[in-house]
Amino acid sequence: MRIGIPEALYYHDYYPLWEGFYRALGAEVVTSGPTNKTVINFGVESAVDDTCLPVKVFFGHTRLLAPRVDYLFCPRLVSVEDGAYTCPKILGLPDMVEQGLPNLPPLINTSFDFREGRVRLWAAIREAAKPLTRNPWRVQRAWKTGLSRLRVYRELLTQGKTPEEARQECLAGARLTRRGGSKGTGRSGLCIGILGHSYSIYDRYINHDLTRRVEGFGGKVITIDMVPPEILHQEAVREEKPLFWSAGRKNMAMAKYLVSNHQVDGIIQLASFGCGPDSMVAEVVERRVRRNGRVPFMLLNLDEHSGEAGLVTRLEAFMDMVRRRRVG
Amino acid sequence: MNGYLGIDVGSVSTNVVVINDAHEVLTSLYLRTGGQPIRVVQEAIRQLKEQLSPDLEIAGVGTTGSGRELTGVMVGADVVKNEITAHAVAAQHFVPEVQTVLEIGGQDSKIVILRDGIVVDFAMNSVCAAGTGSFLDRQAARLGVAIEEFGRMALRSKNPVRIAGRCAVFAESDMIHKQQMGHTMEDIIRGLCQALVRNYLNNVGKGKEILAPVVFQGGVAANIGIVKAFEEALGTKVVVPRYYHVMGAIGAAMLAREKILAGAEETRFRGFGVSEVDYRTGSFECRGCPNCCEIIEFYMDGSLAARWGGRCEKWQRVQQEAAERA
Repeated sequence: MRIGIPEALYYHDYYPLWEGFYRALGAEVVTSGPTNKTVINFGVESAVDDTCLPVKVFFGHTRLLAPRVDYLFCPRLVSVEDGAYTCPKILGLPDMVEQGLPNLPPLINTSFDFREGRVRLWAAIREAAKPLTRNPWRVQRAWKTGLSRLRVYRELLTQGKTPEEARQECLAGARLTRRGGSKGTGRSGLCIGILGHSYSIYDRYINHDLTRRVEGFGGKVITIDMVPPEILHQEAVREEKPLFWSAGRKNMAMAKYLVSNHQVDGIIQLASFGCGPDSMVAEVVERRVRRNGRVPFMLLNLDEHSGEAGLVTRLEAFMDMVRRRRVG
Repeated sequence: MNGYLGIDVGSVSTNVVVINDAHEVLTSLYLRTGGQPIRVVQEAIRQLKEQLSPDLEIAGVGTTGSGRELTGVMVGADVVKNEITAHAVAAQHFVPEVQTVLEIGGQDSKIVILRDGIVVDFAMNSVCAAGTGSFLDRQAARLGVAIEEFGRMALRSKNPVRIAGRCAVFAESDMIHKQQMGHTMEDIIRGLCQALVRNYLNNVGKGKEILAPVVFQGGVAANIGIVKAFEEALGTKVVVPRYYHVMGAIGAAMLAREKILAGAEETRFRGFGVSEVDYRTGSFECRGCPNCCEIIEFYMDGSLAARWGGRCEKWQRVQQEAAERA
């Protein structure tokens, strides 16, 4: 049985969990590969006009994957932590996909809602396993396998591995190592903090290879996943009124952490055109960064036809500015 | 005597300057790009050769603007720099204590914030062209007013009309409406100037602390109506430097000089002969992977000089190999 997992949206956050889970249940896991021009074209063609770029990208991946699999994994992630939600479009994702794309294989569209407690969560996990087994013990074992994979993956990300490297090491059977202190950013080169959703930061196609470009200008990149989650959690709960969306919370916490620890020479925030939460979160984060410190900040908006030239010009000017400020 | 060449290839105009070691502008040219950057740069170089004294030697070249990469390969640039840095460097030279640079060009506009001589923040217009030179050009043409007259007409207005400046399309229909209502041309033009400034300050200048001295440069700074509208809106004097229209080119030339002097390198300038070279560009879609990058090829006198546009190194590598063989 082939289960298809699109390489979009929460892929970079949870893939090792899902993959470990379904493999342990005996399925073959098929992914759609990195985003490319075909994916974007498919997505723009089939997604609702008003939706955001990341959802369009998800549509593109799904359409590419659909003919090759028996089931499409497209869960409804309602809430992934206590007291916060994912965004409305992600809540409605399975519905949008079902309405928008013809000839789909059956969807695994289980709702995951962490606010509803352990019992409901277990029910959801069993439901997600239904195409493969109804044996609760097998499901439990598979879930544990998935979770341990996820833990290793996140640890590798904290150590500064790229998601691609971390996934490969996970697959090769990497085990949890003792944290050797998060990879020191070293103050010799320029260090640039990158904020945004994982699906913007790690999708090299839609962000025009931002990380490599920053490195090309002599900068080192630090992302949310490189900061131990406990630290971000501490920052997040200190907020007087925490943000409603998980991703927004993480971004806000990250921004505060970067500003107060003087770890970075500059902060770049990636936002997606058409993203509802970003239109507010990006603004709040920007104000916070500007108010708190003297860390240069730049907001980059990504959309499907954003020319590379505009992004490169801004990035080049930003790196010039950061470098001159450091010297001066 | 040494001269440093700065070339700013923008969407609307191509500006070329030559400065000397004292940063004095020896000559400056302002040409319309007209969608043909290669031909215009060649034309500029030809004119430059006629204007410059024969004992002047070009010791460094800098390019900037949206055509900077292409031009850089073409003329052999020592520095290829983005417009923001180039404009800031030039503004700082003419007004050393500048804290804000407003720049409005043909198709984009930017703001640069400096403190203590260092750029601390900047912004560029994103997708909207409502606050740029081409929009003004178009409206002037539609009203049948020479763009050179635009500013002076605005100053004669006693009672500017309010025009929606948030979008070029809406602004235009709003202006037509105001014309049909019988408002005078002067009032409409001044209203348009104010709308453009409002749009600029709300979009590009959003959230920025605009402190004096404010320097206003770029082609639109020629428009006295816009200058006055900025002064009214900001409540401060706005300085328009003498070479406001070629500041990007001056900045590029200054950066080239800086680099040459720091590294004591020879310039990579190909000489005035570039105006005679047969440049050609071509493009194709790479089929190596699903990204389908559009690769641009640049030929000099029939031989491949450069390729760009790919997301990977594939075509740059081909080019390097070719260079090694040659």
